Amino acid sequence: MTGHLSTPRLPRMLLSLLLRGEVLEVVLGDIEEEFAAHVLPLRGARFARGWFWRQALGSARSVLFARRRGRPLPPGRPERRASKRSRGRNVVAGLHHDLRYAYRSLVKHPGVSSLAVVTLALGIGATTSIFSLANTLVFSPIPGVRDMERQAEIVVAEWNENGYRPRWVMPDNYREIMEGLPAWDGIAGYSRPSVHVAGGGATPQRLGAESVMASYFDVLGVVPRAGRLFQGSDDVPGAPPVAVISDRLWTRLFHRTEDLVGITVKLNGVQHAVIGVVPPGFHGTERFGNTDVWFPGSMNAHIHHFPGLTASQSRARYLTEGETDAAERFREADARVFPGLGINDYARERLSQTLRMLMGVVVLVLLIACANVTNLLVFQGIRRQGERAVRRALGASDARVLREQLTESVVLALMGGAVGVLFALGLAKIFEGTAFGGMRAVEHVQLDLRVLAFTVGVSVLVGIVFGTVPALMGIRRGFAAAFKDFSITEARRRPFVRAGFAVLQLAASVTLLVGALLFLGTLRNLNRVDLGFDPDGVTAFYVSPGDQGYSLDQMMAYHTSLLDRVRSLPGVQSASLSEYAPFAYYMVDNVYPAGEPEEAMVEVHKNGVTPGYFRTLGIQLLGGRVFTEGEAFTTGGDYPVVLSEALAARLFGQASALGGELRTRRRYDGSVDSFRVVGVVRNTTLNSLREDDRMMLYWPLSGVRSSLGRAALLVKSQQAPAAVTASVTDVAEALDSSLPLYGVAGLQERVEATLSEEWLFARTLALLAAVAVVLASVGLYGLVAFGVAERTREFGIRVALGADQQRILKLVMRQAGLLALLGVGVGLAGAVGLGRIVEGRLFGVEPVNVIVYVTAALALALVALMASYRPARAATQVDPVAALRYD
Amino acid sequence: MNMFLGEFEQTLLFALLEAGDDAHGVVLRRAIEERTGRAVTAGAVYTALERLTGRGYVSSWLSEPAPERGGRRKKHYRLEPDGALALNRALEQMRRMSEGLDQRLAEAVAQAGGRRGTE
Repeated sequence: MTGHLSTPRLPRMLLSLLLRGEVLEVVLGDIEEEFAAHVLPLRGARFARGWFWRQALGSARSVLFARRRGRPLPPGRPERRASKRSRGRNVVAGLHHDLRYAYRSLVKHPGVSSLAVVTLALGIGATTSIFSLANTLVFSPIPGVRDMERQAEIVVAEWNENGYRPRWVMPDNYREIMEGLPAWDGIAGYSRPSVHVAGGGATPQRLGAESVMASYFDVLGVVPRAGRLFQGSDDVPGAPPVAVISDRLWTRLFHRTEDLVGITVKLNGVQHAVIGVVPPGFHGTERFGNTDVWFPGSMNAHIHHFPGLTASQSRARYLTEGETDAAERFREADARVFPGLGINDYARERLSQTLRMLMGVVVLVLLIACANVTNLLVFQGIRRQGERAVRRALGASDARVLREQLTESVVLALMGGAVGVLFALGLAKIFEGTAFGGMRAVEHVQLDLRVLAFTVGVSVLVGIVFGTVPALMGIRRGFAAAFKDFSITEARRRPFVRAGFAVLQLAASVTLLVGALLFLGTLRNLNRVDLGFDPDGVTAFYVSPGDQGYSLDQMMAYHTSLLDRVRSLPGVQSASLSEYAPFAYYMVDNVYPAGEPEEAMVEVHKNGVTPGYFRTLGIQLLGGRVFTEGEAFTTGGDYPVVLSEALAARLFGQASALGGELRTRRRYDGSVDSFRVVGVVRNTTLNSLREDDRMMLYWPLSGVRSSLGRAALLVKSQQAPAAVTASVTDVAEALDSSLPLYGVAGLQERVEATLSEEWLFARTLALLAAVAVVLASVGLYGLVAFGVAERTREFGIRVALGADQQRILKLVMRQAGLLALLGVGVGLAGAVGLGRIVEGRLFGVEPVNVIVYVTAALALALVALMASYRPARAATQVDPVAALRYD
Repeated sequence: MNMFLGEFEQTLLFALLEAGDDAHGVVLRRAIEERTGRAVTAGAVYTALERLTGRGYVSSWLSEPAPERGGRRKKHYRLEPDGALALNRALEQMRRMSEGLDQRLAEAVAQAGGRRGTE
C-alpha cells in the first residue's frame, strides 16, 4: 500500500535529526504506517498532518526525555544487564540527561561555576589568540589562488648558511632548468620591483608590482574579477604594453568601472593598457603581499604547479630521486624547491620559532588555569559529597557518576572556551602591527572556522583533563570508584595532591615572570644602545627619478633643486640626500689601504651621501672634515671618503686615517678605484640594534650613479612629522608631479619598528605573567583557607591547650611558605629551560640571570605571603569551644 | 526486585495481551487510544516497551523491512510469562486496595464534580 499523500517532510527530517538507529527506524516506521493506513483515510489530510506533527515531536520528546528512575537494584539483576544491552540505543538520551544534570549542578553553584569559567576563559583565550595568530600567518589561504598546497616556489640563487641572494634568471633559463623533470605542469616566473603608478587622474604613487611571465595567473589558478588576465602572446617582445591591476587599485583609480576599454595606467611613465582586474585580496604570492600591478616581463624567481602531489612529496621527489640527468641539471643550476606558497622559507623558520615560544608560554597559562579549576571542582566536590552519597544509594552506577562528572567539566570548559574567544579577540589586537621575522606587519588577526574548531577542541580536551585528573590520582582503587569517592576522602587523605597544584601554579608564574623580566631587560638594553646618530625630528623619504627615465644630468639637477627647496621650508633645520636612510641593508664592498696587499681588505658597508647627511643626523665629526657641497656631486677621480671610527681604527690602527688612501676592486670589470680619507666620524648602528659591526664608509652620493636614480631624502625639522611630510610632498610635486615620494617614515619609527618582536614578547609575557600570578595567588589562598577550615578542630584544641596566636600563625604560614618555596624552585628550573629557548632573542641579558631570578622569586614570595596571610589569621581567631563542637 | 509497574506500563501490558501475536507499535498505540481515549506517541510506546523488555516482561524481534513503512523494519513484541505475572500482581494489588472503597470513591468524585460545576 502506498499512500497517495506522502507524510510531511519537515517533522520527518526533524525526527531523523533527533533520533538514531533502531529507535528512529521503529518509531518513524510506526508513525508512517499508521498515518497511511488509518489516520489519513479516516480523518482527512488536514488532521493527518497535524497528527503527524504531534506524533513526531511527542515521540522525540518521549525518547529523549525518557525518565529513568532510580531503581534500587543490586548488580547482576536482569534490569542491569538490560540497561547494558540497550546502552547504544540510549546514548543520545543519556547525553541529554547528563547535559541536564551538568546544567543543574553548574547553576546550583553560580559562584564557583563563574569563577571556573573565567579562569578557563583566560587560559583558553590566550591559547586561542596565539593559534589565531599562527593561523593568520601560516595557514590562511591566499585569496584567489587555487590549490595553494600544490604550488611550490623555486629559487635560483647563491646559497650560504645565512640565506641566499637570488640570481637573475630569464624565462628561457627556467625552461631549461625544468626540462625533463617530472610532475610539473606550469611555470610562472615573477620579479618584484616597485613602480610609479599614475592613472585615473589620481596623484602618482609608488606601488608594489610584479613583472611576470604570461603563464603566471594560469599557474596560480587566478580568475579575473573583470576583463582578462595575461595570455601567451602578452610577454612576447614587441607586444603592446598591458597591465593587470588589483581590486583595491581598481576601486581607487577607476571606481570599479566594469568596462576596461580605453583604460590605461602609466607605469614608470610608460602607458599600459589595463586589461583585467584580479579578485579582491590577491596581492601576489606572499600572504601579506602588497602587489597592486602586474605586467609581463622578465623575472628572477618562479612558481610551478604539481598536480596530484602534496608539497612535501614534491620536495622529497626532487631531493631523493636525484639520479636523473634532469635532477642533476636542476641542482647544478643552484635551484631549490620550496613547497607551498605564501611565506618565504627563511621567514617561516624564524616565525615558527616565535610561534612555538608563544605557544609554550600560553600552554603554561592554560595549565595554571586547569590546575585552578581542578582545585575548585575538588573543593566543590567535597561540599557535594552528600548529594553523591544519595545518588549512589539510589543506584547510580560508577560509570554513570564518572560520565556525569566528565560532562559537567566539559560543559564548563566549553563555556570557558566561549568566553575565551571574546578574550582572544581582544588579545589578538596586541599582535596587530607586529612585523614577524622580517615579514610585513600583520594588519588583522582573523578568527575563522579553523580557530573556532581549535578552541572547541582545546576546551573539550581541557574539560576531560581537569575532569579526569582527580580520578587518575586514585587509580589503585579502580578508576570509577576513585572518582566517585575522591571528593569525600581522597582530598583529605592526600592533601599533597592539591598542594601539588598550587606548587605547579606558583612555578609557572615564576617562569613567566622571569621571561617577562628578561624581555623587559632586553628592551631596556636595546633602547640604551648608542645609535651614533640622533633620529629625533628626522623624517625619511625615498624618491626614484631614475625610474621615470631621467638622465644623469637631469637627476643631479632634480636632486639639487629638491634639496634647495626643502631646506628653505619653514622649520627645516637641515636636509640631505643619501643612498640609504639609516637602518637599511647597505651595499657591502671590500677596501684595503693603498700599499698593502689586497688580502688585507676589510668588508665595509657603503653609503653615498651629501655633506648635510652628518649634520641632519647629528653624527659627530671626530677628525678632518666632511665633504664639501662641490664634492658631493662630482664624479670620477679620487673620491674623498669619510670613515666610521671603527673602520678607521681597523684599517689604520693607531695611525691617523686622515689623508690615507684606500683601494677597492670593482667586481664587474676588475679595475681599481681609489679613495682618499678626508674625515672620521663616530660609529653609527647599521641595520640592527643588536649588531656591533660598524664598519661604515661614506662617499659622495654621485660616486654611485645608481644611487642618484633612487635616493633617500632626510629632513630634520622642528615641525610635527605630518606637517613636514605635507610640505615636502608639496615641494616634490611642484618639481615634477609625475615623481612621487614614497617610503615616508620618521627615523624614530624606523628604529622602533626593528623592536616590534621584542615588544610583543615583553608585552605578552608580562600580561600572561600577571594573569598567572593572580590565578596562582587565588589558588594558594583557596588551598590555605581550605586547609585551615579542615583543621579548625585541631586549632581549637591547640588554643585550648594554651598555644598562642603567634604559634598558630607560624604553623600555617610555615606550610604556605614551604609551598611557595617549592613553587619558586620548580619555577626557576623552568626559567632555566625558558632561558635556553629564548636566548637568541635576548640582548645584553644573561638568560640565567641572578638579579632577574631573585626579583621574580621575591615578587612571588610576597604574593604568596599576602595570599596566605588572611586565612592564617583566621586560624588564630578560632574559638576553642565552637571548634570542638565543629564537624 | 522491583515488584511494581507504572500505570502506563500496566496499560501497555494489557494492550499487549489484547493484541496477541500481531503486537507492534501501531496496534498497541491504537488499542490504548481506542480503549482509553488517551493520545500517546509512538515514541512513548517504544520507550516503555524497551524498558519492559529490559526487565524481562516482554520480548521483541525485528521483522523484514516493509514497504508501507517506507522500507523500515517493524518491531514485534510478545508478553512474557514474567510480564503476565507482574501484570497480574499489579491488578491484584489494585483490586485489594480498592476493595470496599467504590462507594467512597464515587462520593469523592461527585464532590469534585460538584465543585467543578460551580466554577
